[in-house]
Amino acid sequence: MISVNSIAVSRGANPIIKDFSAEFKAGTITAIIGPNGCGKSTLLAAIAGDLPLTRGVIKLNEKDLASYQIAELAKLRSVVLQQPLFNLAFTVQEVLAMARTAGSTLESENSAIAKLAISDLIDRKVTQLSGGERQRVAIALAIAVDAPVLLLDEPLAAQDIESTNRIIELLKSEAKAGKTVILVAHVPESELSWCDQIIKDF
Amino acid sequence: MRNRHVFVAINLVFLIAIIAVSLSVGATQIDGLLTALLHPGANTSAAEILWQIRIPRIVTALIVGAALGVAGALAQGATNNPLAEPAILGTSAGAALAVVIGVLANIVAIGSVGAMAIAAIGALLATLLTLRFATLDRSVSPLNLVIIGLSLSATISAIVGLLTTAVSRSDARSISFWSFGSLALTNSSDLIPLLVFTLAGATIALWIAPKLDLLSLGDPTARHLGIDPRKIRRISLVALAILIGAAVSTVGTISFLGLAAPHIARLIGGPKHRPLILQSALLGATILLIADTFARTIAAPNELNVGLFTALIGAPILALLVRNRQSSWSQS
Repeated sequence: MISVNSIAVSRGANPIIKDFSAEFKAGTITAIIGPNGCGKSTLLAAIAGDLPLTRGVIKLNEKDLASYQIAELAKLRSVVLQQPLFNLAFTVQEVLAMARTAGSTLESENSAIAKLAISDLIDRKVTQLSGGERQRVAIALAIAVDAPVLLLDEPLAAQDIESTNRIIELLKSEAKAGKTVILVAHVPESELSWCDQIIKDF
Repeated sequence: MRNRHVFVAINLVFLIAIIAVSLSVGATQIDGLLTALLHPGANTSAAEILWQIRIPRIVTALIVGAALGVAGALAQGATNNPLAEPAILGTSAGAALAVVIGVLANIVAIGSVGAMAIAAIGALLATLLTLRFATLDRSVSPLNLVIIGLSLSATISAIVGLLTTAVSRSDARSISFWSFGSLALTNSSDLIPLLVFTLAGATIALWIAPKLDLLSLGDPTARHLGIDPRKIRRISLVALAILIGAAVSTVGTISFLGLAAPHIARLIGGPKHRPLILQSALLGATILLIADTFARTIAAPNELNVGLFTALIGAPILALLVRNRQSSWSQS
C-alpha cells in the first residue's frame, strides 16, 4: 500500500510536480499517462524513493518512504528503468544473480526467466542485446526480487505484440498475487483497459 | 570461465619464466647463479648481488605491478568508466605531490612507510577533488570525469615538476628520476611496508568486488537492488589511495599499466570483479617485471624509464585485443 500526500518534486530548480495526491492499493495495477515532459517518470522516481520531495509525504506500508534504509527498501519495491544500463559484458544469468542483494534466489530467478520467456537469452552478453531484450531482462531482474511493490517506467515501449501481451499478462498475475503495480505508459487510455487505475492529471 | 582458467595458468607459467630471466640478467654478470640462489647467506659477490639487489627489485616489481593492476580495476569499477585509471583520476599525481612535499620538507624518505602514508592521503584528496568537480555523486558524466581528472593530474604534475627542478639539493635529481617512474631507488627494507599496504588495499578491493558488479548497472539500479553506490565508491577510493600511495611512493608514477592490465584481463576473463581483480594483479605484476627487466638491462649500467616499457608492452596488446574482440564495455 502506497499513499502519496500532496507532494511537490523539483528537478534542479524546475518544479515538475506541484501538488499531487493518490492512493495505490495492493493487488491493483495503476498506469500513469500523459504527454511528453509532463513528469510521469519523475512521479515514478519519487514513488521509488529516488528523488527528494520538496513538499508532502509518500508512505509505504504506513511509514514515510524517506525513512527506509536502502537495503530495506530494496526488498519492498523493485524498479524497472526506462533505459536499463548494462555497461559491462555480463551474461544475462550473471545480471539476474545480482538481485541476490535484494533477496532473490535461484528459484525466483528461474521463475522470472520463465515468466519473461528469456531462457534463450541467459548465456548472451547483456551488452549485445536489443532494446526490447534489455528491457525484458530488466523486468526479469525486478520480478526476481519478488517485492510487494513493482514500479515500471514504460515497460512496453520497445516490445513486439507477443512480448507486450506476455508482459501485460505477467503484470496482471503479479497484481492478482497481491502486489502493487505502477507503470508509466505511453499509449492511449483506450488500450489500458487491463489497468485498475489511470492517472493522467498531475 | 574456461578462458579464465587457461589465461591464469598461461600467465603464471609465463611469469615464472620471466622471474628466472630477470634473476639471471643484469649490469653485472653473475657466475654460479643457482648456487647463489640456494645459499642466500654465502659471502660471495654473486650471492650479494642476487639477494641484496636483484631479488628485492624483482619482488618490488611484482608487488607494485600487482598494486597498479588492482588499482586500475578498482578505479574503472568504482567510477563505472572504462577510461578511469589512477593516472587519469588524479590519484597518482596527488600521491606524487604529497611525496615530493614530504621529501623536500625532510619529513619522509622515498619508499619509507611515512612516504606511503602521506602518498595515500595525497592520492585520496586528489581523487576526491576530481570526483567532486565531476559531481559524480549527483549526475554521472563519464566524459567530464576524464576531462577533469586529466586536467587536475596535469596541474598537479606540473607543480611536482616545478618543485623538483626549483630545488637545488643533492637528492633533487633522484626525486626527479623517481617522479618519472623507476625501480632503481627501491630499498629492501621498504619491501615489508610495501607488501602490507598492497595486501591491505587488495583485500578491501576483493571484499568490495561483488558490489562493483552491481555498480555497472548504474547508480539508480544499484540502489534499487539494495546497495549504496556512494558508500561503495568511498570504500573503493580508500583502497585505491592505499594501493597508489604504496606504489607511487616507491617507484614514482607509472602510467598506462593501471589502464591496460584490467582491460586485457576483462577482455580475456570476463567482467566479474573478484576474478578480474586477481587477474589484473597477476597481469600487472607480469608486465611491470618485464618492463623493469628491460629498463635495467638494455642500456646497462644506465637505467631507463620503466614507463617507456610498460607502455611499449601494454599498449599494443590492449589495442590488438580491442580491435579483434568485442569490447567488454558497452558501445553506447
